[in-house]
Formats: sequence, structure tokens, C-alpha cells
Amino acid sequence: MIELQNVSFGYRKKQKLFDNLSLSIKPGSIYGLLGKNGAGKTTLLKILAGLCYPKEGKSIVSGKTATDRLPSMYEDLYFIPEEIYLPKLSIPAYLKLYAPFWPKFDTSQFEKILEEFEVDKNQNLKSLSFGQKKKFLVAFALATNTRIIIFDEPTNGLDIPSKSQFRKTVASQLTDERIFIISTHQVRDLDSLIDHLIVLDSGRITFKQSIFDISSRLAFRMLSEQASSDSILYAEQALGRKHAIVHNIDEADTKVDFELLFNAITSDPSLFEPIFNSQSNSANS
Amino acid sequence: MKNNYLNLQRSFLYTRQFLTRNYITLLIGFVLAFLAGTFFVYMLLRNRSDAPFIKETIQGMLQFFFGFGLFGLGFIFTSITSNDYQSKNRKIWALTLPVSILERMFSMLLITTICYVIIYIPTFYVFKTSINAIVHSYSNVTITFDLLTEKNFKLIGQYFVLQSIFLAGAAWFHKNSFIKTGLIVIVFIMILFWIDYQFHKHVFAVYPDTHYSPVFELFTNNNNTFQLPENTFSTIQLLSQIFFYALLAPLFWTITYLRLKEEEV
Repeated sequence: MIELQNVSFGYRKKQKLFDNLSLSIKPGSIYGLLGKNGAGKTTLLKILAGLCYPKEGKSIVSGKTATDRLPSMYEDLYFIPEEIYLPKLSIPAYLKLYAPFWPKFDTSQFEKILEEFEVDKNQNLKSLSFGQKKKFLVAFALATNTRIIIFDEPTNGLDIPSKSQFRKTVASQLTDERIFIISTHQVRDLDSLIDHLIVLDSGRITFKQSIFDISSRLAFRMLSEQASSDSILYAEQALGRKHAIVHNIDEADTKVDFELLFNAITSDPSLFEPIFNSQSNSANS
Repeated sequence: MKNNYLNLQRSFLYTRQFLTRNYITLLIGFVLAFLAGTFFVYMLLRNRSDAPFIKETIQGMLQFFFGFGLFGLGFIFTSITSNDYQSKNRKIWALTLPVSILERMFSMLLITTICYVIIYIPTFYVFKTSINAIVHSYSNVTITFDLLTEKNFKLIGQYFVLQSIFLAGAAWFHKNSFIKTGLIVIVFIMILFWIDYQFHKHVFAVYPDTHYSPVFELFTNNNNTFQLPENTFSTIQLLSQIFFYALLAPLFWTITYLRLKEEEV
């Protein structure tokens, strides 16, 4: 449904941020996009949404070239940036003016989500705090019923209960036809939300796996400091113990520690290649 | 198949949201212009009381206010059409609205030309009536100023053409576009005058000491009689005017369209 085909992009002519980058995103999933500061997460999302023109290659969204910015594409794609803008209108006025742009907009769904976020549906957008504005926009985006929603750092500015509510609400709105892409550097916010992980590092997609595949191939364990094993792939010291990623030989069901996994991938992008390549090879055969 | 280029419903929605968010700016502009005009008339009335002078001067002032207000307020209003592209976040919000570039342009043109003139003429009528009442109470003089004259329609036509420059300016410069476009227009006019002067002086060796310009003659020409050109000079004059009227607006509309299409975040 979303295809990045050999995309090259750079803000300066001689300095490329992405070179020949390809990516395919399928419906029915919530994708988490992780990367260090400056890795190009936001730029990648903007290219996906047709807001940036790649120097080479293209982004195809539901069969349409994203940079054509056709109305039919934006009727099917909603982008929530990290820093948001909203006009100085009341929520009912905003709904009246902007909801008709999205043919599948559902007002009762919007009101229900807004209620879950504890935002008064009659307030003026100008009087909302940053976090409330973000919750309003998340509610609006979900109620548009676009098949693709791109969230750039959606939990920035949200308090702890709101982050939890955000995860619940977003998870409940996923259908087999929809794609949610969430970019964040707050990896804990993705806990129990995403089902695919994409890691962007040095202009490349260094990791792209489903959570199911990750947890079936890797186990995340707390080991004693003295523990040593050939199956430890990566470990970090923590208060006299070790957080470790090990081969999931015994098919244990452990919770994916995104922070640990992300650190492992960025410290050595090729660390997990043999494990997941062998998996895909065996799956292919 | 879905129309992705020019859909009337989407254009209407876009026009409606723009007017809802910006009508206050237009309203403030009208009120300020209204007050400024009334102030000038009031100052004149305080200093002069002779009826023939007042009648003639205020009629002249109304004609000036009509043109000045039409162009000034219209250009300022046109310049705010690109406010949504002022910041990165606002631009993302605006560009991801499901509206095509052609629909955005069509709405902008509609708002800043036809809608604007439809609002401007009755507003000026109210202004004229108020001025007449003030003048009458001061000096018992009745001002006659007809709004729907050929001269005023010509001014509206010229506004429609020249407005395209400010529309392109608004698409090009997102901040302070009115001032920036205005400065560029002034510099452009100066260059054009200089080229025009050199052209006449060296190519035709006519009017070497005048500042006569075939291009800008159309601003001052009140003679409505149309004559076929008798010599090369008048051919150039005619071609310049045809070029100015027929090509200027489409040229700047094309520039506006392309600029909006290239917009990135």
C-alpha cells in the first residue's frame, strides 16, 4: 500500500540523507519507526506523505505518486506532525469546516475518542494546551477513517495517562485495511502498540521485522552479572545485572525490550542479520 | 473516476474555510480605510467652507479613494492568501488538506477578485453615502458620485489583471509578501521605464526628452476611442497594451500555479 522505490534525498546537493532507499508497508499493521536524532525519521515520513520531493525515486501511496498530492491520496492519508498547527476556531467550527474534506469522517467516532482523551468537544482550539491540541488532532485523524495515518512523535507533550490512553485508542482503531506509522524516539511509548519495527540509521533501513518474528527469534532476559553464554547477542549492565538479548532457543515468550533492541541494532547494524536472514530463507524454502 | 483536479464541491469547501478564517482581516481593512477616508474629508471640511470648491474636491477625492481602496485593500487581501505557508507546521496542515492545486488557485482567485469586488462596491456605496451626509450637514452641498461608471469598471478590470502579480507574490514570498511584491513591482516599473526611454531614444529617436511609455499609457488614457495604428510606434503601443492585458494575468497565474506545485515542507 505504501512503497518507497529507490529514494534518494538530501537537503544539500552533495550530502545525501537517503541513498537508494526502498521500503514496503502493508495494511493491517502499526509500524514503529525508530532512529537516532537526525537519522531522518521526519524527512522519511514527509517523503512518504508527498511533502518532500525526493531527488530520485518515488513514494507510491495507494497506487498514486505521493508528490502529485492528489486530493484522493489525502482523503486516504492523514499526517500528524510533531509540532502542530490548528486555526483559531472552536472545535465545532473546525469540524463543520474541515470534516467534509474527508468523505469517511465519522463525527460520533470523533466525539467518542475525544471523550476518551478527556477533551471538551465544545472548547476553542486556541484555549487548549499543547497536549490537548495533540489529542484533538489524533481524534480528528482517527475519525477521518483514512487508511493511512502517519504520527510523528505523537506522544511528545502528552502526560502519562494520556500516553497510555493514546496507545489504547490507536490500537482499538486499527483494522485490516489501515496502516498506522508511528515515529518516535520515546521507545517505551510503543510498548504493546506496534506490531512491526523499522529502524532507520545512517540513511538506511537497518532493521525491519514484525514483533512476532522478533519475539520468536530473540529473547529479552535479565541475567546475573557473571552470566556468560554463547547465546548472548547483546547485553547492557544494569544495577548488578545484565539486560540481555539472547537467541530464543527454547521458544520462550518474552516481552520485546525496544530500547535494548534499538541500542543493539544501532551499535552493530549487522548483528541480527544472520538470525533474520536465516529465518526468511527458511520461510522462503 | 474521481476528479482529482477541479472539483466544485472541494473548491467551495476550501473557499468557505478561507473566508471563515480571514474575514476579520478583510473587515478590519475596510473599517480602517473607511475611517481614514472620513478623516480626510472631515479635515477638509474644517478648513474650507466654500461650496463649489468642496463639491469638486470631494468628488475628486471619492474617485481617488475608490481606486486607491480597490487596489490597496485588494493587494493586501491577496497577499494574505499564502499565510498558511508561513511556517512548517502550518504548511503541513495546509498541504495535506485534500484539495488540488488548481482548486486552491481557483478559490484564491475567486476570493480575491470577484468576491472581493462584490463586497467592495456596496461598502464603498455606504462610505460614499456617509461622506455625503457629513458634507451635507457641514455645507449643505450634495455630492454626486456614480459608482457604476465605465471608468470604475475599467479600474476593476485593471485590478483583476494587476492582482495576479500580488497573487504570484503571495505564492512566492510567504512572509511580508505585500511589501516584498510591492518593492519588486516598483523596481520593475523603474527598469521598464528606463528600457522604454532608451528604446525610444536610440531606436526611434522620438520623444528623447520625455518619459512617455507605451506600456503605462494605459493607466492614464481616458480616451475610449479605438483607432487602428497608423505607424510602427502606435503598433508597438497597441501590442504592448494587448500583451499587458491579455498575457500578464495568465502569465502570473501560471507562475502562481507552478510555485504552489513546487511547495515543499
